[in-house]
Amino acid sequence: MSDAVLQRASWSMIKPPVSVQSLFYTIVLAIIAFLVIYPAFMLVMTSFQVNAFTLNPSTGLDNWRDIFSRPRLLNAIYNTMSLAVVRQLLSLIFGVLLAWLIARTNLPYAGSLEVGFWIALFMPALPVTLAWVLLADESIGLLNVGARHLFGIDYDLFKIYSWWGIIWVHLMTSTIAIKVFLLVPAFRGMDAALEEAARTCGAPIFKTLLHIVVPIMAPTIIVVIMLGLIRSMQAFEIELILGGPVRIEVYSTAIYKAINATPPGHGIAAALSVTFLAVIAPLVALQQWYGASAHSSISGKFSNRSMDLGRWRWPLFAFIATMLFFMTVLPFILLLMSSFMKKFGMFDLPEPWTTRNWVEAMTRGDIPRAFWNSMRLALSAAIIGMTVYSLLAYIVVKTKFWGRRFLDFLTWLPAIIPGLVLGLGFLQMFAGTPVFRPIYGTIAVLVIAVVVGSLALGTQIIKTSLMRLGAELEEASAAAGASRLYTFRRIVLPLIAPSVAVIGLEIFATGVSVVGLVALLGTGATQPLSIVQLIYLDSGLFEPASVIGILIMVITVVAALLARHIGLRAGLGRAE
Amino acid sequence: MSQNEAQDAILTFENVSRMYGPVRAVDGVSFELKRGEILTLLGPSGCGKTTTLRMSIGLERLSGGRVSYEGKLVDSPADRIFVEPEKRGMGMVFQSYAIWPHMSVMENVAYPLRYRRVPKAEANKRVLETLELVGLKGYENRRGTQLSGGQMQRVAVARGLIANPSVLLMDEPFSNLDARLRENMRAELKRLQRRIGISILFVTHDQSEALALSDRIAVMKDGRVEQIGPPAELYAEPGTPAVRDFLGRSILMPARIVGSTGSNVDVSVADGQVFSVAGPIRTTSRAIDEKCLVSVRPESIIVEPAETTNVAGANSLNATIRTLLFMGETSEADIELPGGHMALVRLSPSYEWREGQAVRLTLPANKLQLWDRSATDAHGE
Repeated sequence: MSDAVLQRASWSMIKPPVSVQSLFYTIVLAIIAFLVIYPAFMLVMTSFQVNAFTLNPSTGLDNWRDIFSRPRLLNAIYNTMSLAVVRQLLSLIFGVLLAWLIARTNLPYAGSLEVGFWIALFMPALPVTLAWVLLADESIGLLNVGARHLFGIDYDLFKIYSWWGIIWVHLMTSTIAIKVFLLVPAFRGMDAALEEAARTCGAPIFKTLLHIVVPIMAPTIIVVIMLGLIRSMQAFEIELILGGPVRIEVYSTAIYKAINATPPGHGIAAALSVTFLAVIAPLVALQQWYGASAHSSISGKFSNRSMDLGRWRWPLFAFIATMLFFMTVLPFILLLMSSFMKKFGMFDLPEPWTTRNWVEAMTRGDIPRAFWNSMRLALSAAIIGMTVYSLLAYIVVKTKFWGRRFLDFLTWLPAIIPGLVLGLGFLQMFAGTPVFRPIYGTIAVLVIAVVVGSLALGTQIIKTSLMRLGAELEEASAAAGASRLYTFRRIVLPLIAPSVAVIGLEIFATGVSVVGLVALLGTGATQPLSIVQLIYLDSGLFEPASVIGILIMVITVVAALLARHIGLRAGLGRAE
Repeated sequence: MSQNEAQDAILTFENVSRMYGPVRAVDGVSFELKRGEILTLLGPSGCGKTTTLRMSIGLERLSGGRVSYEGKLVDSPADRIFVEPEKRGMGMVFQSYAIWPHMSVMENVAYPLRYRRVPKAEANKRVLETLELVGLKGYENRRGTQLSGGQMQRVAVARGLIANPSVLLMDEPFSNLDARLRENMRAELKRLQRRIGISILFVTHDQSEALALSDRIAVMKDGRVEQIGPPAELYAEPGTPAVRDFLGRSILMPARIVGSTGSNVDVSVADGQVFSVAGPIRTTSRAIDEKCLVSVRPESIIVEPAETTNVAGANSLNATIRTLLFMGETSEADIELPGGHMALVRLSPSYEWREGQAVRLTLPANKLQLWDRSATDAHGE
């Protein structure tokens, strides 16, 4: 009798029951593994291809020898790191402070300011960079011209083409805004009693931020820093435009130059990318280690009262409103100006203003077509991305699936590869593999690239919000007789919905403004707005580029506001 | 408590109100917390008790009225005075405990001393002493997340006491504990308070907690204080239907006034039986034929088997046991009164009881109270 029981027990240990669930998870793992590893594999292979564009291509280590023999590589690594670290430090201080002010205090019009940062996040980098060039260029920049005329200053007050210029424009585009964007939902989920307890113990209001909020939010903040560092290292457009003229080279611009060299140095670009992976890998390892120690601090019951800022309310409001003006309104005004000018910044022309740029943009066939391409791309990517990332995050955090650690690792891989290079990998995967050739040249390729490109950011953010969700909330649903899928839909999804909505918007914004990732994938008929804009910029046509810049800006801002509105009506967002 | 009553007020609320938009969450509340007493704000959820507690330390601002602490105004919108919570130097224990998960027990408890310029060595000594006081000796190096609910509770109390405040505020501190632990903590808190003599302003919706713990209770309803006084007084002679129904159980019987003799009022209950009422008369009129309600606490009703006494004494009536509930040291029973009313009463252990048994109830005149017919109040929790 007991032998039979033992035997049965050992049987079940040897052969775990294969459920429909684990089969499904396995299929998901296989698909993600293929989409992530195959382009990376192509990349590694490419790094060993020598003379690829000549009559006698071969395989060898020439590319690797080449990159390590250049002294510029070290310099590029140094620039990449120093720019990323300084930017992250500055933006972190501002980001944490702003997120806390918006989420947890009685800052006036906190809701409107939050919307302001949403808009700032969606501001496309390339046009904003041009706006700052127009303001602070050494010869034509309005600020320098003004300083010369008004105060008789005969040196250049502002130098946008500089190390600090790059930092500044990054801070004024998405670097601070994304921190606010990601931290606000997390800060909102914290029990207000934790802060209030500190105040009753004698801590002034700003000390509670330092001693209590920041340490408790450390897991989220650290995930945000890691993502920020990775994003910073991959930054491309701003460095290209502002660093190029003063020979500040970073990793991504080095790769870009290799691809654009004659003959195209895809092999060198791939080798550079593989070394880049080695630089970023420790960060990923650190994040993985840290993520495991994150503690659960949302329970079913918490109070969410706001801290009284007292007499600091209005000064802080004024400061933040000014900051937002610089981030959103000012670039828009400058773009609008340049889109109505014959030549960017040339006020001395007899007739500097014109509507020609707009008329041409509306009558040319490529811009309306690109508009629809962008909309299809961004919407599909957002919907597919939200579903896929939620599913992946759920499998990694909430199931006992055997492959969950591996799946987690896979979601990180695309983050290591800069968009430009990932695009190169996808190009070779879709164009170079016969099975996939039928979908090459369709918008689906761009959608897949965008979804895979944001895989790390999306999955990590949803994972963080899932980890902070007490297990009891789900167990209660299971106890009530709900299936796993039903629990996910009715309990988990609504609770993590603010984070998922945040991710959906992020992907939408990426879909409309993405440059590097899709530059090589969009063929004539499928080119989105951002690529058409890049082509104009590349040809020095800043004025029509500004027209497209305004279009992209308006689409993303309208979408952001619409999504926020829908989110609020669904009871997401502000929990008051 | 007579020695305390003579002493001064440490925290004073004068006509305090708090608006949330058009809603009056707290409406004209006045009371004094005296030195060394435990005053409990008791009421159902949404009655404004937590808001009142939070206003005393400045986590909520007043919309009107004045709060003074240790003789100084700390919040008065009319005088544009507001002292920040961190400058008031009170201790507070939160419902969720608010133990910081990133700090050890030692760091949690020592936190208030950071802002009082206490040297590190002395701070450590005081933390150890305070932890011993709350029964957590040896736990100082645990992390906030490695504690049980009861231990977190003790850490929260230690953190509230460490800086020797003159007032400790406690917001439903025991509501997340299981029943047995809650009763232990209740007794322990009262012993601790008696030992160190701190004043406690306590908030709860649990009437038995309030009765056991408090020197005085302020029963709140709809943002107002209904009645304030020692637990025994409130229990025996509730001033309003809300207090009567919130504190303990009452049996209510519809009646009609038939006459009065001196301070006593005679009423006729449903079946024509005449009762004499000698307790507080809360009716607006004593006119003959006026409809009213008679209330009595179940434990004041004397229940005897019908066969033991043939004499139909004053204020007595016949009834039948329908359901018998054996509770260990006592028994309770659902009894059916004449006219079909049911009432849950306590039975004396001196007799044998069985279901269906005929009993005689005696309702002592001085334990009966008279109310207006409209004076019913929904039971709170």
